[in-house]
Amino acid sequence: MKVAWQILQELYQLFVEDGRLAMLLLLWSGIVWGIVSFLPAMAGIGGIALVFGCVAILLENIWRFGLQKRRDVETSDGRN
Amino acid sequence: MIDWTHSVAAVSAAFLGSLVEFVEVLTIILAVGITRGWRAAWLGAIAGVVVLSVIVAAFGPALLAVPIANLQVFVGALLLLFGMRWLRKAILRSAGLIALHDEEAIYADETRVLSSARIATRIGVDPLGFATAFKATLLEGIEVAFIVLAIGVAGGQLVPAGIGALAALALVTIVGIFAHRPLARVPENTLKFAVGLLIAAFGIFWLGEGMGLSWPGEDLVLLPILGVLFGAALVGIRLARSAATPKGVEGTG
Repeated sequence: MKVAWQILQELYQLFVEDGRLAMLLLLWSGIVWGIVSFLPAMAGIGGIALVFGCVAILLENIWRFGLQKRRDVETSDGRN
Repeated sequence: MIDWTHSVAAVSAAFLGSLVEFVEVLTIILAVGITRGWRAAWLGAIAGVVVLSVIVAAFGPALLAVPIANLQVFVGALLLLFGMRWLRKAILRSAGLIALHDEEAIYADETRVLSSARIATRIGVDPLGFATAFKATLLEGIEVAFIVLAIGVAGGQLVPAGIGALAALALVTIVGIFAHRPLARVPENTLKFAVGLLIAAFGIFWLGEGMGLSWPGEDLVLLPILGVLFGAALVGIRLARSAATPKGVEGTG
């Protein structure tokens, strides 16, 4: 049972390590899909929106991680 | 030309992605074999492969029954999440914000834990060694199966993707047999970087195809998508470093 639970956890972690990143990527994909479904004329620029949107979400996530790392260092320096 | 772009990308993604996973399995199996005996290591690995085959046989054909557009959206979304997770980790490792993957350290840790455990042998097999080898083979094997099935099924590239994974298995097995030690020289972060790029590009492409987006240049658009992701990854490394640098330290390193 423990092994089965571990396998399920590992499966989930295959795709989701940072829940916020995964959620935003899916949300953005859904928004692009929704727009293209209602406005088929946008299908041409939908690809550009999808690529650059995903890139922006990734960079924002990395920036946020870096800032958190800096805060952690500054907090530990302040304690010492 | 169009088929080549896709097949080469599929073989590369499957080969590199599987290589990373097989190197990780080899490290664990070597640690189990040396500390708990080769019988437990091999039986555990074989049991892992058998269970994995049953899972693939059960879920693989089910994927083929899904209409292609829905399948492309589903698989594309999973590939996007999987690829972006690897790419994010590779960027953060390259920026020095998280530790690099170290096969020798993992091997040393596994060896220490496995050597210190005192568990009696059952029916001629060490249960701890068996369970460790079984779990490693099954879990890493699931990642390989996902990469091969996702890339293969959504784009009709199951054979190239399978060839890529088998080539990686053959390479790691041969090198493992001769070296008999963890493959610490494999540039795991560089590989994860490349695989993250390839798989995220496939994910975006299939997701777009499934959504009905019209990609300029059809399959060839994979190359500019890869280029954009690569450029973004380079920017990401600088961005991560600059965000993590405490105020007043900028420009000193």
